[in-house]
Amino acid sequence: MVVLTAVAAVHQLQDRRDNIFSNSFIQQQIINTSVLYCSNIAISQRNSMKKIFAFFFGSTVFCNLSFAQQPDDALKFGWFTPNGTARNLSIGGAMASLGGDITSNHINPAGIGLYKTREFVFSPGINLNNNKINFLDTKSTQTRSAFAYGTGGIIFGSPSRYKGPVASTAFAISVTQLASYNNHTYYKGNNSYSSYSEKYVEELVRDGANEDAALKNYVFGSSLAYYTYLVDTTLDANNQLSGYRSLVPVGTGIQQERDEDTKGGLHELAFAFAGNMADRLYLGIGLNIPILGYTRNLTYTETDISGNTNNNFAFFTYKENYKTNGIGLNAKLGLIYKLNNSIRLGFAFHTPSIMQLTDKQRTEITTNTEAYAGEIKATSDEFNSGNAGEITYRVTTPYRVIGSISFLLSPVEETKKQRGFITADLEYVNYRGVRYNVLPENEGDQIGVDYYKALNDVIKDYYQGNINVRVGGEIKFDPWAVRLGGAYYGSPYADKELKANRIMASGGIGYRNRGFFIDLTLSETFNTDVNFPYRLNDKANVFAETKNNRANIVATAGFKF
Amino acid sequence: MKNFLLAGVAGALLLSGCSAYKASRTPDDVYYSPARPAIERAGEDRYEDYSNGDDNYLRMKVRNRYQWNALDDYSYWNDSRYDFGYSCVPSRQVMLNPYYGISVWNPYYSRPWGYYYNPLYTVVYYKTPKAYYGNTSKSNLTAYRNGTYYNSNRQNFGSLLKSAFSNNNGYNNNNNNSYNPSRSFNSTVTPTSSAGGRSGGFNSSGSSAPASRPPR
Repeated sequence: MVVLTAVAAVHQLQDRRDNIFSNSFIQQQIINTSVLYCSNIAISQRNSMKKIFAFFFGSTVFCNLSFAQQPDDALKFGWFTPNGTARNLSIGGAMASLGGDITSNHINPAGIGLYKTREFVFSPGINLNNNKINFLDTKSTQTRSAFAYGTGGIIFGSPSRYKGPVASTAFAISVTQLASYNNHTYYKGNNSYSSYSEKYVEELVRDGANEDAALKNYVFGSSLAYYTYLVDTTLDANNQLSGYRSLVPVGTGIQQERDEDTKGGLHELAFAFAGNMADRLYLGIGLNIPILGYTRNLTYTETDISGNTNNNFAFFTYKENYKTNGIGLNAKLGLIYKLNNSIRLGFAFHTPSIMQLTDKQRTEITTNTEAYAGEIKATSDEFNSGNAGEITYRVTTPYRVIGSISFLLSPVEETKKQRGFITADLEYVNYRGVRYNVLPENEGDQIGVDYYKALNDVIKDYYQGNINVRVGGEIKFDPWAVRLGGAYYGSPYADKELKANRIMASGGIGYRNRGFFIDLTLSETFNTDVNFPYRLNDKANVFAETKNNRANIVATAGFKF
Repeated sequence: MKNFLLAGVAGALLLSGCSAYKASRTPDDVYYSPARPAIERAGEDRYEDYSNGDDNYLRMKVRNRYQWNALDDYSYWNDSRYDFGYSCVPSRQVMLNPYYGISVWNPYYSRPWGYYYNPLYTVVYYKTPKAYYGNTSKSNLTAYRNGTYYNSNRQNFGSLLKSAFSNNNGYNNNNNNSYNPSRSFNSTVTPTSSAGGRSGGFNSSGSSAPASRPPR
């Protein structure tokens, strides 16, 4: 526990050190924090124990979950394409009725019930992103490669010694990366219709903010815009405050640029148990711990393209550092039934995850209004005593229901006679089911309760449930195997005007001999989506059409023991 | 992540050394998972089992007579017929049948932290800035309900029509394509210093906000 506490302290210090807004004040805080940790290590130890107990027991009892705080963030919990071992990936991620692969732990835990042997597996990989984005008729490209991994873990299959209804049981522990957030996108375009700064104007006017509120009550956005004169007041005939205006000369045209660098992923640690009833019916249950880490560094710029140096605007830049971390709990239930030796039917249900997440945010705005007020920079740290904005909350992720069928050619003991299989999954995901909540002990925070209720209402209307399809097959010439697969994930958006889908095509080979096996897979995922640089209530919203091609190379090595 | 990879490689090397299938074909559990044939439970000679227990006890006692001196009958101590669940080890009946376990092995009394301490206490809740109770229109959320789009990539008659008739929700947007976009308060609104509060989900009130803007 001392080690855990020390690691937590180092992470906290690292978080601060990494921050784009680090300054001497923060460095002093790091030193103070270090001293505090050294002198209070015993207290930290006891508190850490309490937190761990409280989280796990609290999560189990209260059945809540957690995630991001804007509707856009809700997709990070559910809209991701298949991942798993190289073998699973190469057959399009279809695994709900096939079984016999450790990826079953994360799709249908009944699948590990097919094991009567013991196996150790690990799956390193790499992602290569290629982004092509069209924003206001301007096309931009950006690439990013990152380490990735598929499913790894260990399976213990235990055949029954005696004849009876239970032919075997199996237990498995595995970890997988459900979603990788590693990406870098960039786009720009010329706009003479609206400006990012208008969302600040809207917020101040709709909230009925006077000048004091505009300066102090919107630390991460509008207050910085107001302080740097990106937005300013408007006065009526009596010289009284009548509203707010943007200094951005939208009418003569501006260039808008957005650069977003994201890191992290959604990982899952799974413990599953399965029983094999007479080699015909397989029942499985899994208890899973989703672990989320997400970092976004966003830079958004608007630049005057009129060439006029006396129009009170040259440029403004908004920078944001946003981090989300947390863990949760979910369960997966499943069954596989062998109609006969060649046909398997599968069914799985994934409960919503209950997660507790902490968001941290730091922002900065720099505005150059030429002769109006010159160039001024303001950071949220300056407005918030050097601290990041931080909030802890709970999120419930969408549930999933999966139905599946597999056809196997010659599934006999003699490996030389095994010929191949075709398998398909049909999955329903309720994307509109993401729910945010305050922590139970903060139910008295009525502002927070109201905010999350409004957020949940928007999610219900903005998203929809949809069907995902996964299909794949293998041809086997022992000890070699060749595989192909594909997957289609429908749009999570209720609005048909927002075109979005995810299509994956994959292929791979495998070799299995002398207690050892290795598989290699290349999958290409074509992600079509939309991205809104900002949203306005009273004007049509501008968005970019994004096409992300993600190549995923995964190798899996495993041993029977 | 490097540690994860190293652990994987180390585990693989360790386990590959003890593979049970080095000299044979590797089972593919997707198709068929091999196992030793199960035997009939009734076909076993129970007497033989007890005899084996006695034999084991005798062999152990021959190896170290002092260690096993306290036991005078190996079969007695290992026979489920004489398993009453005494001592610190729970009865096998308890583990096999929860009905028996309710009174003698109740987890409530067996929690590692003892029953004086309730683990369901408040989770520490950090947030900065401190809670601020102001008025917010949640305009960052309501904007998601604006289903009109301006996108020169694919403007069509329908989207232009929707833009033209978009609802301003009672707020005055007096600046479509104007030089500097602006909004003005509704006539019923009196600007207040208590506006704001929850900006983008974050409590938002600057504890060290400056008293005024820089001079122009």
